Amino acid sequence: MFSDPVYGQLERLMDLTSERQRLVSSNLANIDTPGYRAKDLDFEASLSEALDHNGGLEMARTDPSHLSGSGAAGPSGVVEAGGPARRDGNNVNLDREMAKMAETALLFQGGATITQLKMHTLRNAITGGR
Amino acid sequence: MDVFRSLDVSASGLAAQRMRLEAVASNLANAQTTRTAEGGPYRRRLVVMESAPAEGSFEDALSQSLNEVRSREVLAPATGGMRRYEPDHPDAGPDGFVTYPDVNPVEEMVDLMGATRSYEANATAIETAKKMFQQSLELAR
Repeated sequence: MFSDPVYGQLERLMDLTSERQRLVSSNLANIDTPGYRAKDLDFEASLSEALDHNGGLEMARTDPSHLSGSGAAGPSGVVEAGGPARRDGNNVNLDREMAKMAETALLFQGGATITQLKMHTLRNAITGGR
Repeated sequence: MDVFRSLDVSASGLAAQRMRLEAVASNLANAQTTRTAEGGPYRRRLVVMESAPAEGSFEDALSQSLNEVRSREVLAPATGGMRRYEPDHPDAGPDGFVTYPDVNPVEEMVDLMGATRSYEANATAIETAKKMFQQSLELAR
């Protein structure tokens, strides 16, 4: 039942989108910090790597402090966003960050909704649709 | 919990922008102040910001990807200020000139608008993070 790899993939989608949301928050908090460079997640690459690489299989973690072996956004996924810097060396672009935030929230909502639907189907099967 | 760290980062942004608003308010209120506790005319307040890695898990320490913002209020470098000839003023110098603070209301208003917009951006980020967290709670229904 829960071996369905789609659950793992949905989880990764939600992981990556919330990681990206955190980076957007960090960029927005530093929108007036001189010299700050905007950070972003190489989102498409991280997601497709997470999905192809181990289609739903987790690496065993025998200790909670082990780094996750899944393709969840690790240090390598974070890149400095390009784009022209202002005169104070800061290159956070408010419009870009807001658009990214909207996109991320929608993707997360999509992941959450599909997970909920799948759970609902399962519950229906268990209770016989009552 | 990760979502709370995102809220912390946004909250640091809110605090920094609020401090900037307060500095603007103080500068505008004291635009004509000619005597202060330190002596001399009021000196303009500026807020400087710097980013610092948010405290978090080991993985984040490696990536240094989340940055809080820290802000500090500093006094603007002393400039001559504005000198006006008002020999009747109690704070006039022996030559009859009074030194007024170097506060430019236009500059302050522009700063005020910038701070307001940045504050709104951080508030929106908090709103979005909250919504996402709420949605993952809905999964348990």
